[in-house]
Amino acid sequence: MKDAEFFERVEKIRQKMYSIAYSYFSSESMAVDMVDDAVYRGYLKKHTLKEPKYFETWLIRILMNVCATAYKKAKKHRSFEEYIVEHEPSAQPTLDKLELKEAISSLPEDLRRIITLKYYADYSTKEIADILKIPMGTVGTRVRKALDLLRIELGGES
Amino acid sequence: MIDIEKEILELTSEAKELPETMNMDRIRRRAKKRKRIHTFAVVGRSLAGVLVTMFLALFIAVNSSVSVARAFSDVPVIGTLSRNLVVRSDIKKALKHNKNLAAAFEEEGLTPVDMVDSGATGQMTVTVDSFYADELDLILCLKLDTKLDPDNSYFYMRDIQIIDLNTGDNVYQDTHCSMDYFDTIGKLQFTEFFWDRPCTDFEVRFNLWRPFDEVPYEDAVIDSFRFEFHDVEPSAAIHIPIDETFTAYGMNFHFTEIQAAGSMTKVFYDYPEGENITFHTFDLYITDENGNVISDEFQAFGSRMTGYDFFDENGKQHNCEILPSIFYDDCDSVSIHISTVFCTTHDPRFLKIDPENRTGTFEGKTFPIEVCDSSTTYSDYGLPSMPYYDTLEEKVFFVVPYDEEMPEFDGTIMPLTGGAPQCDGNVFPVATINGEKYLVIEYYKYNYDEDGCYYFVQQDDSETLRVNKSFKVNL
Repeated sequence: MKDAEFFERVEKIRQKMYSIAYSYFSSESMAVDMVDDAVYRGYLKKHTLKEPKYFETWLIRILMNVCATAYKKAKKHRSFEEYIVEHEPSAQPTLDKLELKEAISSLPEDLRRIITLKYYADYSTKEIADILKIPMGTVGTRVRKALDLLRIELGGES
Repeated sequence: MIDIEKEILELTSEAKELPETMNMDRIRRRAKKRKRIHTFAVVGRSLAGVLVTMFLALFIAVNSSVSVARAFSDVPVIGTLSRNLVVRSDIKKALKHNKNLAAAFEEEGLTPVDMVDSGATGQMTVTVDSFYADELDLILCLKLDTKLDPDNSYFYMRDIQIIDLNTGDNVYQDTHCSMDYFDTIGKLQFTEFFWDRPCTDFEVRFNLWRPFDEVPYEDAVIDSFRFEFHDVEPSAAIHIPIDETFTAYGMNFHFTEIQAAGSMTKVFYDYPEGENITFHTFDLYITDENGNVISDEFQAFGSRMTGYDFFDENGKQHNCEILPSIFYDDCDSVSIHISTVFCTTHDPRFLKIDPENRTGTFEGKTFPIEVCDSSTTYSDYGLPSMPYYDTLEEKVFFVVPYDEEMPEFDGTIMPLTGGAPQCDGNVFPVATINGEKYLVIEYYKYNYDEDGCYYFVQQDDSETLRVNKSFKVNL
């Protein structure tokens, strides 16, 4: 894949990439950094992508791994709230939003990815199944399970 | 019940507003720039890895054996680095002093012995760790430990004797004048003895001295040491007779023999004494069949001579130049080249010592001297008693009172009569004895001239003559 084609394809999915990255950090600058990092890694490894039709699922997978790794690192060193405040002091979330964000981020990684892809990036069940390499039925099960866990976490009933 | 999907969708609304920084130009530029940096980093890391590997390999190689270290030290550019990477003291010494010993050490090895002598006072402990012996040279690898202040001291090995335990003969050529200098305490270092007759059972005796320009002469001797060796089998040397003559300054120099062992090469020659010409030495080197220099300047471990003269049973004088060994060079023939002759062609400045009248004369001035020979002892002369000194029966000890009236010696004092090994008058030019300053000259008792006097000449008066003579020798 040539450079021009690579960046053309990136341009088409940059909105989804940003949303996914934002879902992890709730920070514009961090989300941009994560997208930059994922694009750079994809650019470095683009020769390993044999089927261009899988470009999107491939790059989104890279992005989610980049985000998950960075998120784990950040959580290790400081609380989530401190992390957000440090990176985006002007974007103080409301208490409810913060609770929901915390609940989403406290989900197991496989469930969190489902929520991110479905609600932040608006991917269909079929697309999520392709990106995560899991059956479509499993996607549905995980969505339900994630939503149930969030309800419990936020004080509602299952 | 919470409509959790609705809550989540509200939450995602801020994630769907694409900021300006998400423009493709910036993303593209940043990705490409990072890739360039990555490429440089990969190349840099690879180069660093290669360099570190090479460095480690070089470190291991140069510390594995003397010959490998020697081979690397001769390579341009990395030679200096490889020499600095050597940490093994024996290899360091071998590299520093005598490159041809590398092959001898490698081929024949050092014989471990681990002998210890702490002398009579226990102030110094000398450990002989190992040794090398061939027909021309005995090399001891030894270690000094001391209770004296080791940081500010250095020591000389003097009054050296090697006694054949089967015959009682002194087999060491260079008894009096050479001094090995030690300034490294607790580390292995080498000293070598150019013995006349290699033997299987022998004793090495020596005294350790502090430099007597730093301490009163009578306090200079620290202690005496002796080490016995048994069933030693020195490696044989090859002896190749030659018959080549060349002329310089009207004198015919006749080359008679080459001897080569693992430690060194000796080139023997004779010359008639010329009128008003005093021959000192040659610059010699040896090449192989391809013209490559395989032996040039000899460097002993200590302040040993690199040439000497001697007399046969008929009283005829012979001479010898010492060069690095060619023993392990794979040659059918070699060429000996004489590049320079050192002579004194004018009236040399002699120092005349008259032991009978106890006077010295230099540049027309006569001054009193004091003489000590082996019929007296050091202690008779107010000097410290040395246990083995009395066996050095041939030794004469001149002590010249040193004052400002006496002419100044501005060069090394070479013996002119008797043809004994050189004595370095400048090594200890001035010693203090009982508060008085003296110039000290040590010399062989029997090497006086026909008038009963001893003559020395200043080496620095010599001239050099380029000759560029060479001849081939089949091995």
